[in-house]
Amino acid sequence: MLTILAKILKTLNSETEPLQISLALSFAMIAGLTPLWSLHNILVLLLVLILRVNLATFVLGWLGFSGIAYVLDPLFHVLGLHTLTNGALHGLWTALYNSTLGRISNFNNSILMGSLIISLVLFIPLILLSNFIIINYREHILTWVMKSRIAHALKASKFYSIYQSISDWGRLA
Amino acid sequence: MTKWFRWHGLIVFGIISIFLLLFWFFLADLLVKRAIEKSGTRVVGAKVELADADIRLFPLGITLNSLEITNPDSPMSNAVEAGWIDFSLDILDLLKRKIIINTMVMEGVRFNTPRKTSGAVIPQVKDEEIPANTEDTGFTVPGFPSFQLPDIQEILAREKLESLDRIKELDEEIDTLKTDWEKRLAKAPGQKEFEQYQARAKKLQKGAKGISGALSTANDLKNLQNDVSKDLNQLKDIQKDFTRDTDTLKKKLHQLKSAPQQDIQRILNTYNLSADGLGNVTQLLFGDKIGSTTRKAIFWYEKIKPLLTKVGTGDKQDAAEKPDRGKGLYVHFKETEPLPDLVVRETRVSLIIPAGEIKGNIRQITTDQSLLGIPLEFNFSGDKLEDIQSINITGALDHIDPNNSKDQMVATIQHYRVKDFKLSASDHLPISLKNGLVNLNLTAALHKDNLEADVQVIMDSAVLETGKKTGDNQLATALRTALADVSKFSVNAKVTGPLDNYKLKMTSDLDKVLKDTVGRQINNLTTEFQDKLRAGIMNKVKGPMEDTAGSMSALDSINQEISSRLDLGNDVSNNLLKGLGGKF
Repeated sequence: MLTILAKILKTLNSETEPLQISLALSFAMIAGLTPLWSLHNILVLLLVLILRVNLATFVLGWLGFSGIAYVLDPLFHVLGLHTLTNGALHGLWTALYNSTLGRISNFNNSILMGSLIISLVLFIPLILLSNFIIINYREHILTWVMKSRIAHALKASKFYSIYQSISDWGRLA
Repeated sequence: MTKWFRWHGLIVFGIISIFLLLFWFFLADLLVKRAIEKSGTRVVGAKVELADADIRLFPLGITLNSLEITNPDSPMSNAVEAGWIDFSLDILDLLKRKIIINTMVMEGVRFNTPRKTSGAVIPQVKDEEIPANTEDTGFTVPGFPSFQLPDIQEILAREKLESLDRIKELDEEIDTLKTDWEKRLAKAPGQKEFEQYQARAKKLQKGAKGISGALSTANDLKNLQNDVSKDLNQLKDIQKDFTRDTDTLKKKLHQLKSAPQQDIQRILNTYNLSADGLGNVTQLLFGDKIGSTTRKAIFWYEKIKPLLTKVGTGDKQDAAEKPDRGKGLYVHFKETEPLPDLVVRETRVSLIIPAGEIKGNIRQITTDQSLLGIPLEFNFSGDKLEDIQSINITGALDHIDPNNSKDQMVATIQHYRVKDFKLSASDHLPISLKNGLVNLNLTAALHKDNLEADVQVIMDSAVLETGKKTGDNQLATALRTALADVSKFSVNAKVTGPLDNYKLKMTSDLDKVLKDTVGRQINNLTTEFQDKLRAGIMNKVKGPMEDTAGSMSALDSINQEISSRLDLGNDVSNNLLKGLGGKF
């Protein structure tokens, strides 16, 4: 637990671009909320690897969003089912259903459809929101924290040694 | 540009992809094996096991080795075992989640093979197991009437004999009559009265002197004659009444002599040993075998039936279902070229039976006949097998319209040499077919759930044997002799009605042979039983009946008394009064 917390702080406190972290978090949201073994997640993985996004954030975010996905399952099902049975979209879905790629994509699964819609809709807002939070954290909170007595006390603790020992995953970005 | 791209990520992606492909390649066999075992076990209700599955990529296909399907009714045996199954798949159809197999080959398919371990998935409860009857009740065979003679002493102790009741009633009547007559006789004119008449006559003789005396005596004499005559008439009436009463009793005594026979008949009827109780012997000998085969066939048919017709297609139905958490629902749309999820166009099967190899074809196996629009058809045949000249099986399962399904099958087996085939496993009457040549014709049609099947078995050169366990019992000996003479017989079985409540009716010319034998034996036993019963009843009735006859004899003394009184009265009337009357 301490290691995970240390990794998050290390990333936030590093010199990594806030957008790299935000983008990783949004990709993690897609991979985490939607079923893992889906065709679109291959594309997500490819983008995560070739775009210079923060991998540590992606992995941690993916774990976090997977937990959230379990809670939101019923919502995904209702939304997905509603979308798939919507008469206006019937032609699109039928065409997709009759294509090989469409069948491999599992698009006609209610949970996949619902979770993919939610994660795509929240993709840009999450980038903007997390970017805003990271910038403000670094500007205001981090400086204040580093100067505080608590920070000095923490530097002498076991947690700080873990924090120090974390390899610089962000450097890869 | 380099700020936002790390091109070495492509190499990482490639490595991950190769790793995943290798992972799939090595694990796919195991995953397919597990999927087949899991889904098969769910459908059958007993373990379905596969030694291994081998997936090849170019061309895409699967080979399954040693598929074992446990018999749910007998977990220590496999209902079906297939040595080797091979088929190729269309990759484009597979990507669309359609398993379309043009040709499947199944080699070494066997039925009823033993298992080393139990294939039960849940503890089995054998609901058809019949507990062994350990109580020795003598020579009894299910379907046959009891052949043990009932214990005569027990019957006589238990049964109330009407003969004895009637004897008792007659005794009481005799006693009552005797008492009544003794009372009546006591009041009737007797010796005393007639002696008085004699004294009066003598007195009249002495007093008849002179004219006035003579006139007075004549008048008295007339009175005396009237008195004697009156008493005599009374005695005659008494005798007449007595004769009537004793005649009634004698008639009853006579009737009483036939009462024991009535008791015998009544008891014989109660302990019925007639051959009417004989069951359908064919049903007894072949019913279990045919019934069990029918039940097994229906069991497997019921397992296969749901697989022929897809249930629950369409968006609305899917939407109404509540999915398992994390699974979701698959919404299906109209396909431009609709095909069922599974189609096996042709399956070439090699069946291994004890007599040898039978080859066959199964066409159009599918999970959705309504969509495919073609019924499943099958045919199997084998010639010049060991102990079988030929075997042919053809049939079709038509579930294109699930509400109007039509299934049919025709099977013929020619010159099947049967050896040591147990017909009856009864401890009391084991019957086996030592040798025989069977010709079998089977036609079965199932329209919706209504079954009509007709099985004809013609047996030639039959050698039937009964076991030695029956000992020296007369019936067993008779049956053994009768069956030894049977060399040719036929059996016809008709199964009709709904699958869950079908009727099995069997007829055979063996019935007549066995019924005649059993009937003769029953006649012998009935005679023996009747003789013993008669002796027992007569032994009980004889004494009381003799006593009753003795009581009847006692009534003769009353009759003699009446007669002697009448004689006395007549003497008085004839001799004395006539002599006296002559003087006047």
